[in-house]
Amino acid sequence: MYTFEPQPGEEERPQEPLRKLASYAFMREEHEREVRLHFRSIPANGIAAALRAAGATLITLTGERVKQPSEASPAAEAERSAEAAERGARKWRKSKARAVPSGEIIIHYFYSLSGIIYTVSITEPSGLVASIANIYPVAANSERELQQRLGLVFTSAAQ
Amino acid sequence: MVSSSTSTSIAPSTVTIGPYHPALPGPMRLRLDLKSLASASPLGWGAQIASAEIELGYNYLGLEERAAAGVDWAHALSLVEGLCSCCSQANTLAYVQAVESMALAIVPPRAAYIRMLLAETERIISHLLNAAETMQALHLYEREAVLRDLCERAVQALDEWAGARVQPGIITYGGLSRNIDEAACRGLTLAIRHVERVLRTQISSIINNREIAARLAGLGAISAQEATVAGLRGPVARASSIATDIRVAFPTGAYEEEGVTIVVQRNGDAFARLVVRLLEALESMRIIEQGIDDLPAGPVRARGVIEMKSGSGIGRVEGPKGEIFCWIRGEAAGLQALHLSTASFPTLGILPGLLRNRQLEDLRLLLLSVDPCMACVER
Repeated sequence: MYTFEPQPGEEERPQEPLRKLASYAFMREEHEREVRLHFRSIPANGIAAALRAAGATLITLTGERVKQPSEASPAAEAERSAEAAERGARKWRKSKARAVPSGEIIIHYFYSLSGIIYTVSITEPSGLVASIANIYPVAANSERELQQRLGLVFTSAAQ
Repeated sequence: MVSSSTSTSIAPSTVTIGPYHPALPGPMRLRLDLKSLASASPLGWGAQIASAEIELGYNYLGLEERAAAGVDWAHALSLVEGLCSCCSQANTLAYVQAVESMALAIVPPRAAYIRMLLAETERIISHLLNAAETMQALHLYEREAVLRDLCERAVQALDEWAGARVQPGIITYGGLSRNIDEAACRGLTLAIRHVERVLRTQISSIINNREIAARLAGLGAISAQEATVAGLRGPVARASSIATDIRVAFPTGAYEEEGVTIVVQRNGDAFARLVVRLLEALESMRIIEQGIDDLPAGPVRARGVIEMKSGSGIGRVEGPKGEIFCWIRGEAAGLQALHLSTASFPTLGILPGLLRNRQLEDLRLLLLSVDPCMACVER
């Protein structure tokens, strides 16, 4: 059974895993009572374990598909609109309705530690994300919801 | 709908309740597998629940999907406020705090205080309504009538003070959409004092009532470790001796100035959860009276137009059911992504385990004791 007992050596330097973690982040931003850490293609369970070792609690997690900058830019939108006008509005609307969700998946994990929120954002282009449910059981339902909504796959540690 | 025929001993059977049923806290389908029980009556009294399965999706609003498709700021505010009637102010507060942290907007002190008064009034109404429904489930109709009357007086006080019984639409980006004058605040104080006086006598009588204690003590007990692992928040966690409250741990707005006492109980059962809610309602009344005394003068909206920037922000609020966490990402034109995490989400996760091996007639009491909000869960 999963317990919240500290692992050997955890109580000595609880912030140590967090410092190590921050060095792997390719971007770190600090806001009032919020620290944002951005990662790319890094297993989420490794980060969760480090935060868990530091004594953090998971508040929630969410995800989104972010359009590529070229897709989302106003120039691209204008170009697409112009093309649509040429082909006829009805045809354009039809093709837009059929559009499948695209773009990179970013999963945001929100942890709370000593009154500070750690927002960990992991960009995962493959759509395969390591599950953190064995580290934080409360994440299981949120992962299931995200799996249905975004069509990504959470892999368990055993796999 | 019972799938097996009734007899003096109930064979293993399945009962499906919902999606719309008076015993349920909101639209959902509850599938209960019952154990074979020789002592069960022909009507099913005494039947034990072997396992429970919850099916959601009957209250789905697609709020996060709508946000992902792009919503302008004014529309997004009305969508969040209209999400749920019993947590509307707490949800809106968490959302506007997230937007304000993104836009680096400063809320005037008077607006921060009035926001706190709105949130606390909403907590009183939610807790009193839950207590009244619990009394109804216990067939204590006189107590139910008194608690419903108190709840109604609190709703009327909100109506006279803020201009609407639910969702007054006052909270907006950077403060409030309109000011509330001193006379209206004095009216709120008088109404709250009356509710407080009656509630105090009710609480002491409920706590000392053997009938209520015998029915609720030990029912649906959740240990502190189970509550921690399940990520429970709010009154359900506090009834299991976890002293967690966002108003204390992560104070924002007027909560930074006004002290809040965390109400904690140790037993983690349905009785402890009822006591926590009743005592928290009293604590909210104290906060309201103190807040009105300390209400600063001045504007209720940030000067000038709030400049929305591209970026993200977070908001954390202690709602009536527990912590509400909001994360948003937006740009000048509008909202691009939204995530609203409410306390009812982890609560529903423990519900199947909580119902296991309980008697069928305990179902309504157990559901009321954890008090999930389906609108907030489904979003």
